[in-house]
Amino acid sequence: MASRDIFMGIDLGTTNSTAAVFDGERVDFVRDQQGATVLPSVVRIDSRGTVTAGSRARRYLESDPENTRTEFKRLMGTREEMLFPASRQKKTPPELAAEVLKVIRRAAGVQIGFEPEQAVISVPALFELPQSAATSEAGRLAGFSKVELIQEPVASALAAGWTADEDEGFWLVYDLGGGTFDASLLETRDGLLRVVAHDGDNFLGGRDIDQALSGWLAERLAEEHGVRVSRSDPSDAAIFRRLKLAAEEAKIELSHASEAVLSLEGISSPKGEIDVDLVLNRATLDALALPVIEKSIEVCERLVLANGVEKGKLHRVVLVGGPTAMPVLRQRIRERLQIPVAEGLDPMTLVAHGAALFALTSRLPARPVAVSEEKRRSFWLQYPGMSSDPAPHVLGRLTAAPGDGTEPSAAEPFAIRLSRSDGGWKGGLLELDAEGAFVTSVELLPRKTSVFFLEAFAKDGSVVPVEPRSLTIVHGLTISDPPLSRTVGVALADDSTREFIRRGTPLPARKTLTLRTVETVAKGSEGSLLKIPIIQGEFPSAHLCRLVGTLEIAGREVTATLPPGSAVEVTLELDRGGRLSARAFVPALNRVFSEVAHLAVPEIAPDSLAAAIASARERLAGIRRDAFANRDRNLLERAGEVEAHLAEAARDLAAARGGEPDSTQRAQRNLLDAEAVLAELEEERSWPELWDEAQQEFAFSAEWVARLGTEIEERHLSEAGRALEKAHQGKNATELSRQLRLVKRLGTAAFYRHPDAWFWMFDAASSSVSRASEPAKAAKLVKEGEEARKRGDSAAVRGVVERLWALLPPDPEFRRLGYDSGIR
Amino acid sequence: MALPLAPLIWLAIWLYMRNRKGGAGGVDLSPGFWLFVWIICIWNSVFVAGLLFGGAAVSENPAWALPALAAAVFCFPWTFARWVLIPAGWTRAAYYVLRIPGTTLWKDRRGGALAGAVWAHTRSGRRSPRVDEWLQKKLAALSPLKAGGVAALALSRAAEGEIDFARGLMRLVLAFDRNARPRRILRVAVEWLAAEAATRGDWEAVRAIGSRRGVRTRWTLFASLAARRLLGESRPHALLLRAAWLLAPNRIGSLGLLRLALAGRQDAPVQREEGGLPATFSDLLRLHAALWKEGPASAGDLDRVQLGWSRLFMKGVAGGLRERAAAIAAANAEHVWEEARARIVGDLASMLREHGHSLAALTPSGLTEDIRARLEDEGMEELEHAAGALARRRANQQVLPVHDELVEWCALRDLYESLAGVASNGLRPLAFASVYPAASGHAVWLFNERGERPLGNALLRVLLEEARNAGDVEAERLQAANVAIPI
Amino acid sequence: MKSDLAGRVASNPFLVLGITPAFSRREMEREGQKLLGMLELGMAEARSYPTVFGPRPRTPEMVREAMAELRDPGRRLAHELLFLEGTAGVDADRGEKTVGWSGAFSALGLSRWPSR
Ligand SMILES: Nc1ncnc2c1ncn2[C@@H]1O[C@H](COP(=O)(O)OP(=O)(O)O)[C@@H](O)[C@H]1O
Ligand SMILES: [Mg+2]
Repeated sequence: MASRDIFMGIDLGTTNSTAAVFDGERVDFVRDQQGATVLPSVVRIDSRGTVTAGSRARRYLESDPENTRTEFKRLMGTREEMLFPASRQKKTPPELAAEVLKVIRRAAGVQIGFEPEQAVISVPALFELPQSAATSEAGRLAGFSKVELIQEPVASALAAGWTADEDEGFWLVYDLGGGTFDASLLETRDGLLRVVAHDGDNFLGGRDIDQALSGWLAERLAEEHGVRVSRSDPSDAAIFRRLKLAAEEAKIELSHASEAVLSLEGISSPKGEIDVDLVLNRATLDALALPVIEKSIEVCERLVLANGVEKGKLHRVVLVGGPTAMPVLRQRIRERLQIPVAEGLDPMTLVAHGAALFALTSRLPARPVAVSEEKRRSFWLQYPGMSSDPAPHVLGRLTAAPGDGTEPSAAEPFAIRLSRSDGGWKGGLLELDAEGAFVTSVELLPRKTSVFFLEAFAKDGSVVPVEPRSLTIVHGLTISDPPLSRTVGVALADDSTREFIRRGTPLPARKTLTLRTVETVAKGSEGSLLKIPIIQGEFPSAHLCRLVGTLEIAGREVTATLPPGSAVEVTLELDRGGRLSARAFVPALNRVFSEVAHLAVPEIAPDSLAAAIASARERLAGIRRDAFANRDRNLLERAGEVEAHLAEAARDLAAARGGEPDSTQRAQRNLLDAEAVLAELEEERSWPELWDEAQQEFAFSAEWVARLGTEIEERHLSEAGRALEKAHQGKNATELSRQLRLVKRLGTAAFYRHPDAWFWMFDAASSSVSRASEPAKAAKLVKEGEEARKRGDSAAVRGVVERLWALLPPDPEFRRLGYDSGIR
Repeated sequence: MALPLAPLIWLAIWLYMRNRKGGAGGVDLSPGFWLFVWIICIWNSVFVAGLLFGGAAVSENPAWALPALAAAVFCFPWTFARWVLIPAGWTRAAYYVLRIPGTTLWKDRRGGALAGAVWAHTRSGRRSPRVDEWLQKKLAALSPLKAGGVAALALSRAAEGEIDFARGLMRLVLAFDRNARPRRILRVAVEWLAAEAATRGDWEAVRAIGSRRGVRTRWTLFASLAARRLLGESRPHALLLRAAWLLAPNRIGSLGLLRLALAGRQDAPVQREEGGLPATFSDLLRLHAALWKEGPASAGDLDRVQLGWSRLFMKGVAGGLRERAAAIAAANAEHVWEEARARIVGDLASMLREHGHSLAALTPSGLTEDIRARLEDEGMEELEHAAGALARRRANQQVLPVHDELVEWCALRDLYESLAGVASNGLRPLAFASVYPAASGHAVWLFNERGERPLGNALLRVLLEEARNAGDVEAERLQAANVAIPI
Repeated sequence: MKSDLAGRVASNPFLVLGITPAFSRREMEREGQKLLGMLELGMAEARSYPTVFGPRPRTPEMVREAMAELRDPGRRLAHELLFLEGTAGVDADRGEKTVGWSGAFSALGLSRWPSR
């Protein structure tokens, strides 16, 4: 083997990015020109259009914030574009992320001798499809020919597990970054790693500590030097930025030292420009940081509790992210969660480390294997790069001879043998099968890297030179495939959902299900369009899940009219990077449709979000009133849950209005959560009403059927009555309304047999005439009807009533809810 | 010598009449008048043709036969088209010959002629896009649509392989008012339906069609006798069957059915000993899986499996499953068991429906109630969707070409019938109540606003019949009145 | 085979992986890994698996999904219950058969276009 394969992992962070390279034994971190392993995720474009990224760009964060952008990761997957006014350029989030990746790629090139072409990039566990797809896109833009994604907590755990000795039980991965907090519960069993659940707060991080600290600094300035700065005064924005940077520096320093000195030069004060030196000790910082820490721990407790894991059962916690270097944080976690903290791990580089390990597991070397130029037979091998199985399978198949037949058949491999390089294990002689393939298993050195030699023999026993001559397998944790973070499915016309690919399914995945259309798609018609909304989420109601794309079948492309109920075979496919493709096959047309209308997180205007929050509040108030009236404690408690979601949503919305674009997304998610609970509560609450209505209807029908109904009608009615009762007991609303329809039909049929029925109906219709769509026409009809009544002409009155009904507003449709889906 | 010219004279009269009719902007002459003219005309022509044939025979001059043939075609266009042009696949010829005015198709001559033409085209063996287009244009131009047009559409769709839709259309042909439904077309429809049912092996339906009064043909009579023999109830004598076969047309083609019927029922129902049912989950599953094999499963088989399952589920969660759950640290044995039960119920329900068996075919057991609930729930939901779509479309005034309206109607009717047919009796009124307002509104819409009076009337007739079946007195009264409005 | 149950029986993860419920979790992982390798190498024997309905095509996605299903003990239990091995037994006596007459349409001179 000429050189070892090298594997690359990248942690593309919100604030900072890091990268690691792994050669199967040692992990190295990619360093920039300054020798730093941490690269700020900052991109600057100056007035000449020159793009810089990383620490060189970060310097301008203070002096030229307009043209220096960071935190674009938060906008991944949206259609938002970022403007750089100096150069009048607009960049999408993946384009900016790609600039950071390019810097990393170049730096890695210097370090390992070639520019990496393939790498693993980490993404937060809660990333949805469009966000993952945007990340893959960024990798492509940066010049990688292939990237794979891994969830950040999985990478962290992989890295932590890799260096640890025991690995059974539940783990908590605590990842506090610059502005985001993610907590993940993982489980390892039989050497296999699995993400059980996530939680987190998108607006909690080191930045909040900096904020608190800079506030404290401002107070000191005012007290000790009489310099007054105010956050709400725009002219003080520059000095606040300086305070924040100074605060951050001091904070980082205090992770190791017990005291730090902040020097601020050239501060304008009432006494003119002064230089200020402030001393900050650790205790002060700890006190300021505590609220942030406590809040994060609460999230962890919620997560652990929600998954039924007792606190003591947690095996350990892996700390990730810059702020976790703070001693006070480690101490608080140990105390409150009562778990040992995994020590000796670098919280800044852990994710990149894990990503590099994963690159090995999925055998994605930084440089794709070059095809051998030599004239020897080669085997195409399949084996796991890393495996928890001490005896994994190795498979191989002879590829076509490069010289194609020119070689003497004597050199044709007939059998192979695998042996471990340390001599501790040797496989038997294995004959190739008819396809030139072999399947066998090898024995690994426990918790070490094993190298195996591959030898091939001709029929006469002579050695045949083959490629490759060796292969490497590491004994460690196995993570076979990246799991899907949220269920992907399709919204149906009645606002229910059909699950296609379940959360946790390993990617890539593909699923085909047959659905049915609900209405006619007319051949060649411009107007008719069948929509198949693709959604992501686990809620039973489609409108509570997120719309990630829409597959459309337009009438103009349809060669024969599709009646309702036509079969549509919908296939959803996700590649490893989470890119979604969808297609629909219509057997009746023998055609495939694969136009996905859009695939991005849809943006909602803050105003409509505000309106939605307000209306949810109103609904909540109604439920509360009822709950108080009935002293329903359970209902009250759950109303509190809704309230919490709504409050969060309102807070996010305020932040969004203040210019934080991604908080709209968050507000939206909170609103969806609130609505999910609301819907449940409302259904519970409306049940008695529904039942009341049913009973009234039944009483009405029973009376009329008894008076004017036939024998058959009476029988049907009593059957329906029984069915109603059953539906009531089973709390089955659909069945109830279905039976109710029959009951109404029977009742009205009998009712209309009364000679005066149409006169009564006329009275009713003319009393609601004010709501008619064409009042003039309606008034005329009323007049006409009155005359007919005077004549006693029932048939004419009936005609009038029917025409009046046509003018009255129809029932609203609820199909809009399910993203206008045309299938079920 | 003037005699051979007689048909030509009649032709001239006909052309004149036709022109007059066209010139008057489509003013219809009273059918009685036409009848009168044609009775005279035909019998004259028959007489002439006879004379001509006689002349040809006597003089041994074949030239005489030519005008004789023309006269014969002229007198019996349907017979000529049906037995000569259609088998030969001469599409346009069939169309124009059938357009010759006569008594045979006069209730829907354009549609009827088109049906003949479509039929001829499918027999031509080679599908010509030009002819196809010509036919489609003519089909689309039919308005108002009458029975002949519907039959033409059915034949064309059947040729495309859309048998279900074609069946729906042919059934609709039967529902047309007699004034919009030529007899010949009715006969084609009835024979087609019988053949289609025979293909599926639905002998019950074949028998029902053959014993329908007024629409029996010699062929459906033969087919229904064969069906009765195959059903094995009252076995008509072999001799009778042979005689019916001899009398019916298409003897050679129908030989297969004769042989099948004479052989009788191939396998008598297997007597199964009670208690011979497997008792373990996996054995039952294997038995159940046998039902999924190609071809329809019989009601008896379904019942047997159903009984086996109900016995198994009555005993509660299998002990083996509990042990297994403990062994692999799964805490959900109960849930798994219930879920499996629900799946099995669902599968039995869908098989029952797919193969068109009634729930009554199952012996009441611990599962039948659940199967019923499942069937009703799913079926009703589908039906509500379909009816809702129809109503919505009408409310939005979304007009489809009449043919497409039919697609939707037939799909709805199939859905309704499959549900009403399979589930308990109590469901029929419920199902009817949920489709009736939309369906009736739709038919009335076609009748009043779309100018498709014959079609609207046919749809209303279907509704009338179903109202009777479902015991909806009010709907019945209303539709009886609607149907009575002349088309 | 429209029903959900039939689909589940035919795509039972144990069948897809070519194993039985007696296999341990670790053995299951090994078999899955092996199949993935074989499929990647295009080996013929991995490309289909037997079911009661006859052989079904096997794809890498199916193998991965099957492995994920069997990793979860709860779901594994459900699949164990619906595990139906081999091809035998399905032809077991299917009582009465309904016989159709395929010649009906052609007897009447009705024909169909050859399918597209
Ligand atoms: N040694 C340290 N002590 C305390 N905070 C630190 C330290 N190093 C970095 N930080 C803080 O960590 C944050 C960045 O963390 P990081 O994990 O890189 O973020 P992200 O995951 O969002 O990219 C910043 O707020 C920074 O101030
Ligand atoms: Mg991070």
